[in-house]
Amino acid sequence: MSGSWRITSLRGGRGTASCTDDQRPFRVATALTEPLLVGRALTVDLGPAHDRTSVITGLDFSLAAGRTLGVVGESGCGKSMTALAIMGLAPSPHRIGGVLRFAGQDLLTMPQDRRRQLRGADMAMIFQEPMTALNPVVPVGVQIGEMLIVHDNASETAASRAAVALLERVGIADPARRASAYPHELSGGMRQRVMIAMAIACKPRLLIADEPTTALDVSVQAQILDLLLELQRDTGMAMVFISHNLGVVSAVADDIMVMYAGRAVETGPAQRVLTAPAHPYTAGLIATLPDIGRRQKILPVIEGSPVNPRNRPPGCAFAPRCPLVIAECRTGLPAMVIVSPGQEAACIRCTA
Amino acid sequence: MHTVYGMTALLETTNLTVSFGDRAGWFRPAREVLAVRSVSLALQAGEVLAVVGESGSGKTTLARALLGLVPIAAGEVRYDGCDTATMTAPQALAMRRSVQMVFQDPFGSLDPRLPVGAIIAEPLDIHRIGNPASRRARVAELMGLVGLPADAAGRYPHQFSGGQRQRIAFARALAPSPRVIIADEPLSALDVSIQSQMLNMAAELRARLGLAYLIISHDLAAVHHIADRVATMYLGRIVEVSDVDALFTRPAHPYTAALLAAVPRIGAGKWVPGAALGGDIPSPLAPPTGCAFHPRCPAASSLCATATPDMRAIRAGHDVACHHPLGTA
Repeated sequence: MSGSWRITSLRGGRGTASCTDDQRPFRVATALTEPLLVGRALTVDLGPAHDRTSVITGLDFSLAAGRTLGVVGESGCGKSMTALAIMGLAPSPHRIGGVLRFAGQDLLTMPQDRRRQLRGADMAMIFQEPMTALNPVVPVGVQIGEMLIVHDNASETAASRAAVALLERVGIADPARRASAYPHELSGGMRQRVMIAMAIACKPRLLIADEPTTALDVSVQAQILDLLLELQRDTGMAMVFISHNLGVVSAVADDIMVMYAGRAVETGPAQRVLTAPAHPYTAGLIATLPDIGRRQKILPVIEGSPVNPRNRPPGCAFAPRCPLVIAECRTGLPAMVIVSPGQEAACIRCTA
Repeated sequence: MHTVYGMTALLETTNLTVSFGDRAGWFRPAREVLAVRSVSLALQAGEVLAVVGESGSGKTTLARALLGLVPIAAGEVRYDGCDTATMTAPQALAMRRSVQMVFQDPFGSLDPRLPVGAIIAEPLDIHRIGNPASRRARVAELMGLVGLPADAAGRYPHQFSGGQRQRIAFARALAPSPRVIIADEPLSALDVSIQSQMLNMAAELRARLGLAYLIISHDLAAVHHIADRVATMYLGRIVEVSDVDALFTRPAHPYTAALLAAVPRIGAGKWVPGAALGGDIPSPLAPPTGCAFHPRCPAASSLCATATPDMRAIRAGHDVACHHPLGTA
């Protein structure tokens, strides 16, 4: 790792903005007690002040270095918005409330230019569709090198050398030649490798992967999962892994957060949540999956479709689709309760 | 081999080859890509046949060739025993009515400016089936079949979710009472919870209407759920065909085995890096010699690099094109 390390106070806010002499001033070590990424009662509202829609409500999560948090749920449940909020990329106009801390610093009160320095360097993101996330008219080697020029003040020659090394690191054959290729000349799997090379260029401490394998074939998906886990093992970076493919999440995540209508409905150790789900929504998501080796004549389904965040019902948002719904579900919002060590669910039946 | 059950297949190909080429440039010879290479495959009435394989393996081109949407370079496609190349016009029209398609992208495959009722009625208009009143009744019936609300006919595609749009696409395909539905990745654009609804709907429609499906998919779990038989494709060739249970429990081609091993499963614990099939599917412009899979194959021998393996039966209903099929050594 480049740059010097210093311990800053955990108070967060502007108090941590003192160290500006460093080459990369905001790469700060965290006090041992606090996880790398912490969200407490995080809320995201989108839209102008007179027409706000709450898309994330009261989200609590924490992620330690070297660990992976899997975020699952259907489209529109707030998975990607959570990622964008962490990255500071939520679409404007927006209002973000609660606590969001990264490496001991308060992300929400941080000035924009500091946030920009963190983004790409200490926290990086890879997207679902590498074709639209890459610039089609710039060779991939230049796009990767750009990260080092912007964040590490690298020279252009050093950056292009580093880009070739990074392409090799992510498993692209003949990296020197591939560095001058344009995105359209690469296969989908290679484009996703390029995205990963860009994301790890500055050795981030947090990598957010938003559906990184959804557009890929199973064989290529397996290669990309291999690569991400290897990189994590070698660098100790933390990962937020967003996917609606529970099998993929099961393969990479240590912990899981299941989201529905902008809230976490269940959290806990990945294997525990996936094998002994406590929330009916989690159980429904798992049951609807066809599984090789266990053929059913009719697949269980979750009836209906996800709620629109604009007209979220009172009480539990999943109540209209829940097979176990009782009258109380429609009145009070269920709180997160502990159902087993480390596993929590927000369901009235778990409280009872 | 093609008439597995000793009867005429509904839709059948023999040594079907599809080639895409360009003309020679000033300094460059013409190039030819064989997207589908001598594929022999049969779909029986009422059967669900799935074609699996990576992107670029020729699955979609095969489906398009079956529908006559791309020209055939060699071999033949037969519908109900009639060669499509020599069919009379009435026969061709009957085939077009009976073989319908559902596309992957429910956003791109529905005309945004037509109300749903008109979209579903379009095949009826084209094939001049019924009169305006009976078409309206048929549209209402179809919407009921696929589980669309009765007021959907007057609304436009953008007012529906992805899952409902795929239902609209299904209703349109069902309109002229087809015998075969060819579905190209019908689930991949949908959420998991919607996928299971669609799989159930497809199974129910098949039972009720006696449909045959040819499903192109890379979702092996969904294929396992719905298919009777599965064909694995690699670089334009069918490398393995089998009934679904044998293929999933005893895959004979190393490529099929690698695809199955690559599916992450719930409860299988954390992924151990290193087991993935290496490399990418080769360019069909420069296919490897011998068996096209040999550069990526863990079981490849020197024979594989020189001789293209022929399709042969290793047990009843299970054919494989491999010099060293798994589980037979």
